[in-house]
Amino acid sequence: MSGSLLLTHHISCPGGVVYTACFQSLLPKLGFPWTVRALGFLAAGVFATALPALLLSTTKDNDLQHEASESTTCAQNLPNQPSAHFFDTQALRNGPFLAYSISSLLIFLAYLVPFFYIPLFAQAILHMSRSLSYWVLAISAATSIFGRLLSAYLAKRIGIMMVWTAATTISGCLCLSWIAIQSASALIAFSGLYGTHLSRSRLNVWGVERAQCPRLTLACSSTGFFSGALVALPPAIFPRICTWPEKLGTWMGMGWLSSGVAFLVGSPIAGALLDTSWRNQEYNFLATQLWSGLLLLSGAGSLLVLWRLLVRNGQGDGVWI
Amino acid sequence: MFISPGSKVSRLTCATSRGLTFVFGIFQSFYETTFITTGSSSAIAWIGTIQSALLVFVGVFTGPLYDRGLYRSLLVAGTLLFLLGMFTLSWSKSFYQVLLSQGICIGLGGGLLYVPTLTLISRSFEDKRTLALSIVTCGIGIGT
Repeated sequence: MSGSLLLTHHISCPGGVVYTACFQSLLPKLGFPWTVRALGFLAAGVFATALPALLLSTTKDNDLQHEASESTTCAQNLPNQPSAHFFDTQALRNGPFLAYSISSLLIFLAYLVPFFYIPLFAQAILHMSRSLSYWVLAISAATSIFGRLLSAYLAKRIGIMMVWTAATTISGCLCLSWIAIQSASALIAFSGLYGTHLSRSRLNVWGVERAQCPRLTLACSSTGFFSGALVALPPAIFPRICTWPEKLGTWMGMGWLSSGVAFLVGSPIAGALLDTSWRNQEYNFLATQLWSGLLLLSGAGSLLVLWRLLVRNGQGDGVWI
Repeated sequence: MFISPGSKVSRLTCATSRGLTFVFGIFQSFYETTFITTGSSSAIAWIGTIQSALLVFVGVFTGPLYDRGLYRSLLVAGTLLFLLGMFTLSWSKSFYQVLLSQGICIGLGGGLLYVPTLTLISRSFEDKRTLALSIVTCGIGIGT
């Protein structure tokens, strides 16, 4: 069954660059308004396909509503049991939840920065054409598909926390190596790798340095790591952090709050750093690159804390959560 | 592993709603060089980040609403807002109009869609939760 899903997924891969491709090829011909309208019709078409199926998948939906109404009834019968709230103060006294929030704050401050500034970097520093610079972005988005799938597979084998922490560390290192990029091909490689995995030589260096930990080396050198993991894995670890299914929605919403703040301010801060370094009609990306790289590395540090807390509380099957 | 039709299509929904955020870079560079040349990098980045932040902020409210079983209403409202944002964006002429349509309207719509699709998956798959979630978030990459 998962095979068929993967198949559908790979069939959709040519669509992996849909928005970018549409935008950059329609823009010169149609102008901005009709390009955006075309994207709108595209989205409408997808929703028209997806929504009936989502709305009509009655069994799942009824189960959910049933579950929901059950928990509401429980709440009415037992005043001690909280019903669905927008905010649950119990979460704020929960160590793993706090560590999770801080980690996602740090990671998502940095996560979007390369995605936002790669095209500008390509045009302003490397003097690439507009269409090529858009393709660089499309490459990083498309390769992250493989990153996500591989990270899911690895997470199943060696644990979510392992993959998440390692992926964050490597994404941070990659962002710092962005500083050294001077050529178009290097940038394409960077954006592809930020999406998916590390180059072989870099991997070997990284693997050898940490050869004491066989699992980690295996994980690194067999596949490399991904920023894709950074988005795919947080929701997956969440049920380990919030062990009460009836509060999952509330806690997940609260957890997303810290990511939301980070998403909101991360890229404008990077943009402000870019604006202040504007000299002699030229951009200097150093501050922006350091911002994303160092934040990702500190995010990895705080993930280690989360990991330690989860292991200590026994919220997982041993160390390999 | 039981795959509900919901999981496949929530991937599609996710693809469409989130994909647009992740390729904000193309808009960023277009706005900066051509469309809104008066705006600074950080001002233009606000459009994209408000959009992505709303995606997740709205989750604070949609999480509990989802727990109460308002799954369908969330999906319908999210879709309508998302499309409204797309079409008003096409008529936008200046920075604040782009901010309202692309930043706020599309962000809100995407936010209404995002958490329900993810929570549904992480609830439905006990066993292969990570794989299921990753497949769903793959939609983001596909959508881009």
